Amino acid sequence: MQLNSSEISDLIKSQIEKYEPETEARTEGTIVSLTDGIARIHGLADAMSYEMLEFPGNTFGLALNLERDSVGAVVLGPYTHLSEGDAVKCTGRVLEVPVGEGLLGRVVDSLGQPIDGKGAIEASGSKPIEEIAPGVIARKSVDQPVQTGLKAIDAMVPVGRGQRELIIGDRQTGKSAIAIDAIINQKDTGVKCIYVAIGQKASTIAQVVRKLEEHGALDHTIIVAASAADSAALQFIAPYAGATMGEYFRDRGEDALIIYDDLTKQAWAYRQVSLLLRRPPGREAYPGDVFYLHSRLLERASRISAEHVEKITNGEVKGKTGSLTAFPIIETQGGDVSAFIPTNVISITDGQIFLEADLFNAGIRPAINAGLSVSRVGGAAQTKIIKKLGGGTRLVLAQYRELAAFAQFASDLDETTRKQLERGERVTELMKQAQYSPLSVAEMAVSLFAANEGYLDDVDVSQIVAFESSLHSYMKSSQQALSEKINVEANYNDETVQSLHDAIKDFKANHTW
Amino acid sequence: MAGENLTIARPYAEAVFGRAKDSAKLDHWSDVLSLLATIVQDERVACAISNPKTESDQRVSLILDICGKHLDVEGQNLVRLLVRNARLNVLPEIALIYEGLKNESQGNLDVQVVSAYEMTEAQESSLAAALKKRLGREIRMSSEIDRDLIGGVIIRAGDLVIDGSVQGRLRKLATELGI
Repeated sequence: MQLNSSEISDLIKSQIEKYEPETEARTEGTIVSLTDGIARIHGLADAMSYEMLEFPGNTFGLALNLERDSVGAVVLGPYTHLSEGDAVKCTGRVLEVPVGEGLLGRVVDSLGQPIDGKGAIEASGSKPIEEIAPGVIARKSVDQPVQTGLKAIDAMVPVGRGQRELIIGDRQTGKSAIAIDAIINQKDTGVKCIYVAIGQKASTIAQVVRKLEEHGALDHTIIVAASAADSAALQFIAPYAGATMGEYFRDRGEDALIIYDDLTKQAWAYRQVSLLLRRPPGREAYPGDVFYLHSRLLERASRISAEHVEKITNGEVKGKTGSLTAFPIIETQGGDVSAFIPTNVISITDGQIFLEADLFNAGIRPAINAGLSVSRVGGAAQTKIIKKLGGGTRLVLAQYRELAAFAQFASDLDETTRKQLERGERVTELMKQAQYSPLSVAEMAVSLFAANEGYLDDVDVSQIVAFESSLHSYMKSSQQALSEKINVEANYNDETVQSLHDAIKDFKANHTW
Repeated sequence: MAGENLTIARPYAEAVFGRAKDSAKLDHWSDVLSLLATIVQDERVACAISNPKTESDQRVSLILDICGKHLDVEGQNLVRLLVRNARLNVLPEIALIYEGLKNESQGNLDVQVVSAYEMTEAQESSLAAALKKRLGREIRMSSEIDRDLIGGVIIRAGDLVIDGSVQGRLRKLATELGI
């Protein structure tokens, strides 16, 4: 980190100004054993659960096990300089992270410390990482969409603000790609994003940061990074730290989107900590409270009413609802969704986007399985026009898959079946979308409209992608007014239908693809 | 592990304390336990009692012989019980917990005061009075001198540590400045 000389003296000046030498009275204990980052501490009779403990050398720990004669704590960060017999002090505080607008555009670790070399963070304050989720009265139902910019998701599994939508799939099926696209698409929507990377390679995190920067999406994003090299304790608290940062925006009547990439690794980290603390192992060696680990985290994603926002902010923010939308990511092994952690998280969330390796390898990207992917609350939040136009997509794809399996054996097919197969093939092709190229509502609407109204039927399957991109550029150049109107109003009425018919007919008659 | 030994020792210590209180022999038991703890911590004795070849009876008679007439019947019974349960090694912890229980019931508190310079009697008595007021117990003060503190005192009362030393303040300043 580079600091210039004035900064250093300013810092010292301010520190001297407010530094008050006071006699401190604190409870102290001694380390009796230190194994794999777990310290057993004798003494500390009044330590609280989840209290921060101060170790020598400006190191902190988290008291997790409060036992009769000892306290079991995880050391946050490196622990090689600690040894048996060292004094440990209570701090009287639970673990807190900085929150506020100042974090946007920054990369921080699980404790909210900057790790991007851009200097100190100007936070609005700090909040405990473990907060109880809003209660029943404080909540409001989900009725505004989060546009991910991906046709397949916005049409088939829409996500609303305040929803928890799981992204699940094997490794290398494009889970993170969906999340990154969703962040990029929030650029001009005012939705603040938090990307929590848990147990990932530091190189992968660096790549994500660079991609977001390239697409101008870093300015509305906070990256909380607990890489594979960080201690298990830091990996397991990272999602909570991220949720606290997101709740700050929610509680101020704004909208935020948080991505936990991924919760499988967080569960692994928690399992490691639990086993080292000698908590009894249960199924797949996870501790008994691994369900609560995820449920209490995901409950914090919610939409809260304007009255509640007003109450929290003491009347500062009026008439605005707040929301925190969560995209937890779970990695399955060999497509097995019936393993412990996947079933847990599926049951907690409001739906899932199921990605399949076979589809991915067949070139269908995003590799969304239309049959198994659902959104339990998003329908209420979907934009009207996409709801109307995209409603049939799921059905077409589901029927297509069923027929395609049969049609492999049939030599001659009747007219209807053949038509259905052709339509399905084209819709499948249409649902393909390149990474980092989110679409606007108007672009999505025109694509879906073309498919619904049979404008694709005479286009060769291999030409669908090209046709779509030409159509989009035509809409952008020649039908600006219509695009604008759909984007702003997002209404589906006779007038829009007529305009879309005219536009596509004009395009097909006068343009090539 | 120290924590486990304490857990094992607690019921014995509580039982001894209960018996001592009933028979009003708190100080006597205190002596007995500290004697036994010293004996089992002696290298030669520890070696003999941890030797698997030593029979239970031999262990009992070994310890009883060393203690001689310092042990009354109840003390001997405790030794026999501990040998039978193979818990002789937790005697130091039993003594420790017993002392804690005894101090608590008598409203006493051991306080360790570390100072940079030797304190005058007036200082000591005013400190003791202040601590008594704050902690609400009778204070038994032991003092120690550590020149490294530079100035001021550190007071240790059980888990509670009151750090009023110059060294502690300097360390705090260093943390504030991030050095």
